[in-house]
Amino acid sequence: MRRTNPRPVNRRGEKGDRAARIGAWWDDVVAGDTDEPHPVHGYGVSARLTGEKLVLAGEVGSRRERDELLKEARTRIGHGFRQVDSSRLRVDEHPEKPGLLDQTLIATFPDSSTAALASKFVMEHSRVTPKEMAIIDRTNLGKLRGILPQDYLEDATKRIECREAVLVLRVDETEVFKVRGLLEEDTRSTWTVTTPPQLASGGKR
Amino acid sequence: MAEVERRVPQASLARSKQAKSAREATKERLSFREAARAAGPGLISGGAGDDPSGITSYSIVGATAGFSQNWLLLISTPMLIAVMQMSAKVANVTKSDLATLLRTHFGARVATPAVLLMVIPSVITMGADLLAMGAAFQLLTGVKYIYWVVPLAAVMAVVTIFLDYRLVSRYMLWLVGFLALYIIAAFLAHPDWPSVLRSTVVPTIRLEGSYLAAAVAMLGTTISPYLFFWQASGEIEEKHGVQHITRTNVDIAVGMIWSNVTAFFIIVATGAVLFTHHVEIHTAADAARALEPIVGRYATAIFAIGIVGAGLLAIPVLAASSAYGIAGLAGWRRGLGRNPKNAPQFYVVIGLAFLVAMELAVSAVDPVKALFYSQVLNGMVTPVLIMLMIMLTSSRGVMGDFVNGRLINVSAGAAIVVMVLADIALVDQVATHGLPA
Repeated sequence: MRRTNPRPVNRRGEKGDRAARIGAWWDDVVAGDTDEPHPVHGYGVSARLTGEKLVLAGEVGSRRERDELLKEARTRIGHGFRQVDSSRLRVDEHPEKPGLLDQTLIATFPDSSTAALASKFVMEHSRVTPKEMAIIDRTNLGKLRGILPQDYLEDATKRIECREAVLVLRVDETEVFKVRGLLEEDTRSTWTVTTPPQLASGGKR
Repeated sequence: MAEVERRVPQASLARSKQAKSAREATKERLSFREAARAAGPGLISGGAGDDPSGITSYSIVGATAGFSQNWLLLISTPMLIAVMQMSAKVANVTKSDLATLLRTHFGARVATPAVLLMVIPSVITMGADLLAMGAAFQLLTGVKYIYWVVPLAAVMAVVTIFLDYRLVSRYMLWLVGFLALYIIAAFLAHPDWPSVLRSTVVPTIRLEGSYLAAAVAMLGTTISPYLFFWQASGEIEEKHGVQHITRTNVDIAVGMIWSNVTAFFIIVATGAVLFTHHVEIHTAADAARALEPIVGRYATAIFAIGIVGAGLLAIPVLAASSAYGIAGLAGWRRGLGRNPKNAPQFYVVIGLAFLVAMELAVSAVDPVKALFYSQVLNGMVTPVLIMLMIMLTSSRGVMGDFVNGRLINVSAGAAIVVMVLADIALVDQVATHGLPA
C-alpha cells in the first residue's frame, strides 16, 4: 500500500508555500481587495479595512487558529491600519470530546495524482491530522481489504477497476464534518462516503 | 497524533476503553439544564411544521370536524418523533445531508424525483404561506393583503440569504414561542374541556369524504418531507456528531410535541367556535375573522399575529430545505452558515424559491387549490421517503452501532401505513366526489 505522509504541511517547502500565500492574501487585504478567500480558512473568515481599523469576522475551528489569525493581523499593524477588531471572530466550540471515536472517509478521484492533490488540499484547509491515510489504485488494489470495512469494499473495488483512485482517511469523529465537507464540496471527488463511527483505536491499525 | 492526544481528556479515553460499542461510548444522561440547552434544529422543525398553511389545515379540521380528529394528533406524535429522529441520526452518523445520502446510496434515479417531489410542494406551500401572512396583516392593519406579499418575501429572502446562520436560527427559536398564542386563543374560545379530552383519547373514525380529507390534510401537514431535509441539514450546520445524539433526540421530541400541542390548541379554538356555530372557512385568516364576533377582537388579533410569526419561521425553513435538497443532489457547496459568495448556487436556489413563491402568491392561482395539490404530492412522497430513511438507518453498513431500534422502526412503519391509508382514502374521495371543499 502506498501511504503518503500524513503531515505534509510540516514539510519545509509546503509550509513555506503556505506562508507565502497567506502573506499574499494579507497584502491584498491591506491593498483593499478583501473578496479573496483566506488560503487556510477560506470564506469562513473575512478581513475588512474600516478607516484605520482592520475588522476580522467569521468563524475558526479552534482558539489556536483564532490566535494564529490574530497574530497574522497584528504583525501587519502600521501597514494601512492601526488596530485590529476581532470581536466578530468566533471560535466554533462544541462539547463533543475528541478521542472517543474514529471514522473513515472514502473518496474517489480520476487518478492517484488527483487524489494526492486532494489529500494535500484537505489537510491544509481542515488542519486535521489523519490517523491513517492511503491512496489506492490498480497498482495496490490488494491492500484495500485491510483498511476498508466489508460493506464498502465492493463499491471501492469497482471504482478502482474503472481506473479511478481511492483516497482513504481515518480521522477523529469530531473532525469528520470539516474533512467530509472539503472532500465532497471542494475537491469534487466523484464519490464520497463516510463509514460508521467506531471506537477509537489510537494510532495506525 | 500527539496533538490529538493532548486534547483528549483522560476521562474520555477511559470511557472509550471501557465501552463495548460506539453507541455505548456516546450514551449520556442529561441534566434538565443540559436538556433545555439542547434546543436547536428540532425545535425549529417543530415550529416550522405549524406554518400558516398548517394553521389553515388545522383551522379547517377544527371547523369541519370539531374535536373528533384530536386523537390523530396524539397517535401521530410518536410517529413524527421517530421519523425526525431518523433524519437527524443519519446526519449525525454520516455527516451528510439527506439529498446527498439518497444520491450516494440509491443513485440519482431515486434521489432526483425524491428531492423534486419535496421541492415543488415546498415552494407552493411558501406561496400559500405568503398569502396567508398577507391576509393576516390585512386583518391587523386594514391594508389589502396583496400589498404585503412582496415586502414580506423580500425581507425574508434578505434575512435568509445575507444574515449569519446563528443569528437566523436564534431568531427562529424565538419565533417558535409565537405559537403559544394559539393556546391563549383556545382558552379564550371556552371549549367544552371534557369533550376535548374525550375526543383526544378515544378515536372516532367516520367514513365520510370531508372527514377523511381533513384527516389527510392534517397528517400531510404534520409529517412533511421538507422537515426531514431541514432536520438533517440542520444537524450538519450545527456540526452535531454521534456524541450529540441524546441531545438531538431531546431537541426533536420537545420540538415535535410542541408542534402537535400547538396544532391541538388551534383545532380546539376553531372547533369550539366555528364547528359549534357551523361557520365555513377556507383560510386561516377566515378563521381569525370568524372568531371576532363570537370570541372577541383579542382572539382575532392573537390568531393573526400567530399566523405572521409562524410564516416568518416557516418560509425561510421551506426555502432553505429546497436549497439543501437541490444543492445536495448536485453536489454544490451549501449551508446557511456559508456566505453567498462561498455557496452561490445554494443561495440562488433560495432566491428562486422566494421569487416563484411570490409569483404564486400574487398570481391568479387559487392558493387553496394549489395547497391541496401540494399536500397530495406531499402525501405521495412522504411514505416513500420514510421507507428510504428506514432502509438507510437500518443498514449496519451506513449506521454501524447506531442502527434503528425496533421502537423507531415500528413507529416510522406505522407512519407509512397511516399515510398510505390516508392517501387511498383521499384518492377515493376525489374519484367519487371530486375535490373536497
